[in-house]
Amino acid sequence: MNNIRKQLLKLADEVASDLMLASDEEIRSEAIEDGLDIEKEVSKVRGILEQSRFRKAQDDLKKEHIKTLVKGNVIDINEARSRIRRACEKNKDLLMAARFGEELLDEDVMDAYRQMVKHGIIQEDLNDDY
Amino acid sequence: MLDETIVDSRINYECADDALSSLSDMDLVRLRKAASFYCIPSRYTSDELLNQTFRKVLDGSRTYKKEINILAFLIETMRSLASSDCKSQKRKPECRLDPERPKEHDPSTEAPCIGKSPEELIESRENVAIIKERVLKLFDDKPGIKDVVEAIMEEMTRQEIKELMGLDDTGYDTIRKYIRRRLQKAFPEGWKNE
Repeated sequence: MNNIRKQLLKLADEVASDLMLASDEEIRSEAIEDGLDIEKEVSKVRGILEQSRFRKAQDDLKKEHIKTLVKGNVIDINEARSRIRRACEKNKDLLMAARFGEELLDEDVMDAYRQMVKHGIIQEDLNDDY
Repeated sequence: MLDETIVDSRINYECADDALSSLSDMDLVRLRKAASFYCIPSRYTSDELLNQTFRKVLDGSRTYKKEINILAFLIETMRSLASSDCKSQKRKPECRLDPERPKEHDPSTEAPCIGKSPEELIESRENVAIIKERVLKLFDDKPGIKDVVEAIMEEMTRQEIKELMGLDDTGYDTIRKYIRRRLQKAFPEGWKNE
């Protein structure tokens, strides 16, 4: 880490520790003293929090959609990745496919998974070895 | 097994979300101020850092337990993000062909504004050097306090600084508050927006 960045990070640690110790009254009166619009500040942070919640909900919906793509079986993306990896480990001809593990987008992994199920490389039964 | 994972993840999310909802207005002000100082060593803007912090907690990348103080947890997460980003910059500074930053920047996007042209990298190194210089200059009229600032930057522990300066806990906390207030007044929008 750049030495100056590390030094500024250490200073930020102390600022943060002091912010944690300061009472609500102190924070409020300091904000007023500094001419800060508290309502505006609060609303901005709440807005960012709402954006984060929205993104999380979007991600969840996406994952839910991906899960239902494999007909007959509800499969989690991590489980799909893991089953592809295990199939590749057991089948040397699938060496190239081993790359599917971490690098591909969820949709692409699911696509690969469906193809592997279709071609019998992976059994549809989730209780199967892979 | 799969269902249990989903249920656990849902419980974690609800627990984190409840805690986030319980943050008071003053906690949010604290978070914003902390973000404005933590963002400087990283490539995040203050808003991006806040957004990433919330997302890490909500998506369970950082598992929150309800007995933990949510404010402390968020600040620790924020610190960890800033620190990791600084380390990754050191390991492989990224260069991009198009150094232009999007005009309408959405802080909820996945990554910080990480692509930097070589010129921007040099500029960013110069910026942190300038900021450090400005920080130290702020305390030119208070040599004793400037020594504490330098000691903090040199990674001396609280105990070491107290011993060196002959301070007790109250004395150290008073000086630290003075440092924070002076920094906030000199950099009201945080270091990055100066």
